[in-house]
Amino acid sequence: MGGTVSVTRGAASWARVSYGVDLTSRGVLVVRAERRRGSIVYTSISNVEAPSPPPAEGTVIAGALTPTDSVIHRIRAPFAAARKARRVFPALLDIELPFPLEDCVHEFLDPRPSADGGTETLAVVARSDSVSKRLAAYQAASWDPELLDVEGLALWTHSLEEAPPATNVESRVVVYVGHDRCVLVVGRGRDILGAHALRAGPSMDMTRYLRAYFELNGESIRWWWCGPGVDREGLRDLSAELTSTWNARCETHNDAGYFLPRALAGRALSGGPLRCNLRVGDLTHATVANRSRQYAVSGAVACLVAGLLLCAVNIGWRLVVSGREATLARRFQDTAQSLVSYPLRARGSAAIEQVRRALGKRRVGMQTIARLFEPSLATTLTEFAAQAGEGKLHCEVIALDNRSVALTGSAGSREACVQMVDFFRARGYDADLRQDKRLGDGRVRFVIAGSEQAP
Amino acid sequence: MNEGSKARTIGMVGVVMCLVGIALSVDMLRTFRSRVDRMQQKAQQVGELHRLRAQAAEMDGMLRAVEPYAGSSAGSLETLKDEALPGEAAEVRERERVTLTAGWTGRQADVQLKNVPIKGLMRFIRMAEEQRLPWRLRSCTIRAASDRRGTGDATLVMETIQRVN
Repeated sequence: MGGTVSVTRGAASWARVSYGVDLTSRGVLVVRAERRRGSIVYTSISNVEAPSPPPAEGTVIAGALTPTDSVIHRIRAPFAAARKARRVFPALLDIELPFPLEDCVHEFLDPRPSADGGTETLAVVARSDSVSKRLAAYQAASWDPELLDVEGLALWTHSLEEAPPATNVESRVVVYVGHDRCVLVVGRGRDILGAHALRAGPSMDMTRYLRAYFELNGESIRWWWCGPGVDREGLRDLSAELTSTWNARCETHNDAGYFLPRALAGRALSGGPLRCNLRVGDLTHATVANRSRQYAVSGAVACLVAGLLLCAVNIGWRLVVSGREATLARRFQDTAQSLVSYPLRARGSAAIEQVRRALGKRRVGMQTIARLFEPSLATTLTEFAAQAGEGKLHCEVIALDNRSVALTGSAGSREACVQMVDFFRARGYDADLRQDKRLGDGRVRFVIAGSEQAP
Repeated sequence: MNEGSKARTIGMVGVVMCLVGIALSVDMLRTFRSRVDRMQQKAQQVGELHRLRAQAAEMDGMLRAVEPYAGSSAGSLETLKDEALPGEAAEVRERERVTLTAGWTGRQADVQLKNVPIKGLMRFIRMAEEQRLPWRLRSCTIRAASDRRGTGDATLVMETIQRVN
């Protein structure tokens, strides 16, 4: 019976407006909550005789089970692994319940590691009959809540929200005083310890419940009053007595009469710890069930789309890469083929080697033609003759081709010989003055030789 | 098929598609480096081919440049010698022709000149180079005469090309 999906867990993320409904013996108290720019705006609605909040899209109605109808109980599983612990929680809860778990709806909230190395959780459980009766009561008052919260949890979390604890170990008691009933919620820091329905109404008798949770040795406890009956006679005296005998600090929540419906409306719109909805299983509201199905379909479609996208991206990438590889291969083969005159069968570096060989062969055949486009040797010879005339050089033998030069003769000075070496160097010959010997007549005999400079 | 089972079916197909997509992604990541390397290598090879093609294009350009002279041939070296160095002794011996490429042949000739004026020799070489197609000086050895200033012996190697149809 306790199967739940995300939409049924407390906050209705899809809703923009919520109505928190508190059934009292003197009528229905309603608070309208609306999400506006990240915050929630509450409006208390009084004198709601036959309310007709339109079940419009984006609107949710939240009711609650009283502590008489529900049980809040902390249980511990001896497993550190939360998944393992979650599997045994129902069995552990079943042992502790005075009725079969199969007849109940339940949720396990806030599972976390316990001090003894296991995992603890807050079990919220209600008999299905009690849930049905509570829903019938709401429907009798013309309300059909989509979410069925638990009063104890709602009072506790909303009290913390409106009046955050000063320390993580602060002891707190929240007392809801109705016209004909009273609820006591006990906790420390942010942890709820228990919730009880007080048949006798608010009295000093309440303190006997606290002994189960606190060591009452002067520990300061903050008491928060709320509910439509906070103005009832005698509550002020009770506060004074608690303060004097219990070191208590008693305070009343703002707009205390509408505190519970405000808490229900707020919890329906906002996420946070200890959210729950016990209208599950066969009792699930049709709107919520439809929405769950829609979520399931949307989730499935999103999963399908994600899968398709992932596949499409991969296939697309593969096509692009294959296309690029094919283009490169085609360009390679076309280029290689255009450089040889026979059908090229080789691929890759072998093809390049063949092309290189073919071009080498062609270059050999082209050498004579290519030389026509090189600087003329005759120009070098003509310029040499002019230079030799200027330097009063007497050249005996000159052997010159495109690759080497050999020159013997005599010059008026050594500088003239060096100038001649520079002349050939400037034209690409690695020329050296191999011999310079001064002759009897003062002239210098020289030998200049050189070959083509390395590129 | 109700909505619940429809959603389940779509979800299962979606999960299968996601798994296939993930498997493809893993395979893609596994082979990514090698495929990129392979493409880079191919691109380098294409680059190398482009470099070789540029060399081939240069040779093609040279052939195109000489193509207009396909019907021409360099003039006779004996005639040129007679014009540049009238009355001087010379021996012109043409070597065997060499087949080049695209119907062109290479011609080389050895020219031996004895005791000729150097200025006349230079005129001969210049006139040979002005031919269309030109005789280009391939190498030369010039030895100055010790007794007559401005004269000497020369051994020249001249070369030209000629289209053979």
